[in-house]
Amino acid sequence: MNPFRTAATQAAPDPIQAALSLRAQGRMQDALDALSVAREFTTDFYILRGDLQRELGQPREAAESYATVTAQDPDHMYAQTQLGACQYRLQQWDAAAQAFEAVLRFDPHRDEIRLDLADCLLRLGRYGLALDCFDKCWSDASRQRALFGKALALQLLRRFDEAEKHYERLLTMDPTAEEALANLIAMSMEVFELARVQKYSQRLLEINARSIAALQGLALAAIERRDYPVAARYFYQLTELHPEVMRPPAEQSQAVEYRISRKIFESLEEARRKQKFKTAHASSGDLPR
Amino acid sequence: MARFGLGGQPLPDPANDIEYLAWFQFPVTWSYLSGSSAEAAIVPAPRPVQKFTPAALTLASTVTAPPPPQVPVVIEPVVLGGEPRSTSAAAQWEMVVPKMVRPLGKPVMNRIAAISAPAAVSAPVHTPAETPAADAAPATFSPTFLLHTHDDKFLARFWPQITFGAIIFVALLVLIWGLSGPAPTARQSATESASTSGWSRVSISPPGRMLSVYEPSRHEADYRIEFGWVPDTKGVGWVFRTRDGSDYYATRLTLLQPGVNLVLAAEHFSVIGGMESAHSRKVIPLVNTAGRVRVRMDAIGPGFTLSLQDGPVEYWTDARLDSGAVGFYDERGQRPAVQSLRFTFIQKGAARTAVASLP
Repeated sequence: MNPFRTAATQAAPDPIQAALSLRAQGRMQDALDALSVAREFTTDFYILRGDLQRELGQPREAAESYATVTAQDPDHMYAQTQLGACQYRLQQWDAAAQAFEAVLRFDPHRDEIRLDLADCLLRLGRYGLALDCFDKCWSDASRQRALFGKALALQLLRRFDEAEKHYERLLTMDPTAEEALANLIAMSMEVFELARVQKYSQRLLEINARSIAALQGLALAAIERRDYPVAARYFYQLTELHPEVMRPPAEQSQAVEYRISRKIFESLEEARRKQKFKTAHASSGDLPR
Repeated sequence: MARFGLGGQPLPDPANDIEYLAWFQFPVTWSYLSGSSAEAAIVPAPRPVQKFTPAALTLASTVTAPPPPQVPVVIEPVVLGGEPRSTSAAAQWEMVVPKMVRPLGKPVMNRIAAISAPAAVSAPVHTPAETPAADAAPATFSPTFLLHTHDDKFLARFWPQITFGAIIFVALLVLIWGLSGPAPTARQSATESASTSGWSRVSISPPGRMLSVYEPSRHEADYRIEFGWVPDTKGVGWVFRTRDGSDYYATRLTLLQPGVNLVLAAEHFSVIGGMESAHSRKVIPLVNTAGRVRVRMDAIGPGFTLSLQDGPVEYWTDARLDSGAVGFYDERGQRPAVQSLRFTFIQKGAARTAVASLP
C-alpha cells in the first residue's frame, strides 16, 4: 500500500465541508477557492457557491450559481429568493420580479418578498401592479412600508388626493417618515401648490434641519412670494449643504430652474457675511452683539 | 427687474440683475420600502400636467425626477458548460448542470396540501379496469334451485358448534395472556416509551420553562407545524429553530375571551444567548369559532407565518437562527394539549410530513 497515497486521500476533505469550515472562520474567499476542486456539482454546491459569491460582493456570479439551481428545480425557494435578491442588486428589475413572483407562488404570505416585488414593479413603471402588491401585504411587520408603497404608487399613478391621504396616515403612525414628507413636497410641486410645498417643507425641516428637499421647498416658496430675505436664508443653507443646486443637472428637464436675481444674491451675500461674522466671533469666544 | 428668464444659462451681468441659475430637484424616492437609504430609489415621476400658471414666469422647466437607475446589464442566468466567468477567485469554475433528482413539479404549498391528505390519494378507486372478475363473468349461467350456497349451507348447519368453539378459543387466549404476559406496570411503561419516542424533554432558559423537543427535527430548517388546539386558559406555546436551550424562537397563543367569538392573543419572541427579547403581541378575534382551532405555522427561510383556521394572522421575519428543532414549551408544568399534530419538513423543494403526538 502506498502510504503517501493514503495520506493524500485522507488530507483531501469534501470540498463542500472544507468550504463550510472556512466560511465559518470568516474566510470567504478561501472557502470559494476550496469549492473550485469539487468534482460533484450538486445543488448544495451551487447554493454554497452562490452564498459565498454573494457575501464576497459578486452578485452577478452569485446570480448565475442560483440560476443554475432554479433552472433545474424551479421550486427551490431559497435559490429563487437569493436569485431575486442578486438580480435586484444588479438592477435587473424584470428578472428579479420574476424570481420574487416564483417565491410568492410557493409562499404567498411572505410580505418581505412581496415588498421587494412591488419595488421592482415600481422601477419598471408598472405602478398599478405595484399597488396591487402593496394591497396584498397583510402583516403588522410590513404595514407601514406597505402604506408608504400604496401612497407612492398612487402618487406615481397621479391619484394625488388618495396618495396624500395615505402619506398622512403613514405620518400619523410614523411621524419621522422623512421620505413621505419629501414625496409630498414633490407631489405638491407637480401641481405647484405652493402652500402645500411650504407646509410639508416646514414639517420636514422640523424633523431634519438638514433636509435638502425641505430647504429647496422653503426657498422656492419664498422666492415665489418674493420674500427675498427668507429665500436667501434658506438658499444659503441649501448651498452650504448641497452645492450641486448651483450646477446644472445631467438632465436639465428634470429640475425646476430658477434664475436667482441680484436681490436674492445680495441677500445671500449678506447672510453669508453675517454667518462668517458669527462664526469668527464664536471661535474667538466673543459673542456678537 | 429681470428677475427670471427662459433661456439658457446667462452669464453674470450686472445690467440685468441676474447672477445665478439654481436648479431645484424634487425626486420621488422610496428607500423607506427597503429601510436603507443607501439605495434610495429615484423614480421617474410621470410628466406633470401643467395645470398651473407659474408665478411670474418663474418656472423655466418642469418638475420631474431622474429616470430609474437602469443599468444595462444583461445577465445570462445560467451558464451551461460555457466558459467560466472571471471572478476574483483564482480558481476557474466549470459550470455543469447538476444531475439532480427532480422533485415533484408542483409548488411546495400544493405538495404540502397533497401530503396532508394521503387518505384521499390512497383511497381505492374501483375502475372497470380494476375489476377483471366482473368483466370475466360469463354471459350465461345455469340456474340453481338450492336455497343456500355451499358456504351458506355449512354455516347454516353448524353455526352453534362454530360459535361454541370460538368462545372456548377466546377464553383460552385470555387465560394464556394473563398467565404469561408482562406485569401491568411494565406494559404501561412500554406504551409510554412508544408514545414518547422522538421527543425529549429539557429545561430551557429562562428557568422554569420546559421544552418538549421533537428530535427528528433537530437539523431541519424549513418546516410547517400544524395542530388543533381547544382554547384553554393554559394556552399553547411552541418553539422552533431551537438550537439549544438558550437559542430559539417561540410563539404562544393564549385565550383572552372564550365563546363562539373567540379572542386569542398571539405573541412571538426570541431567546438568543439566553436573553429573551420583547414579546410582540397581537390580538386576534376569531368569529364563529367553536371548539378546536386549527393552528398552522410556517417557518420558511427568515419568514414566519402564523395561520389560524387556515387564514394567516401574523407574519414576521428574523434571520438569526436558520435551523433547529421544533417543539412545545410550557411553564410551571402546564403542558399544552394539542391534537392532530403534524410536522412537514421542506427540504430543497421537497416535503415530508411526520404525524406526531405530544408525550
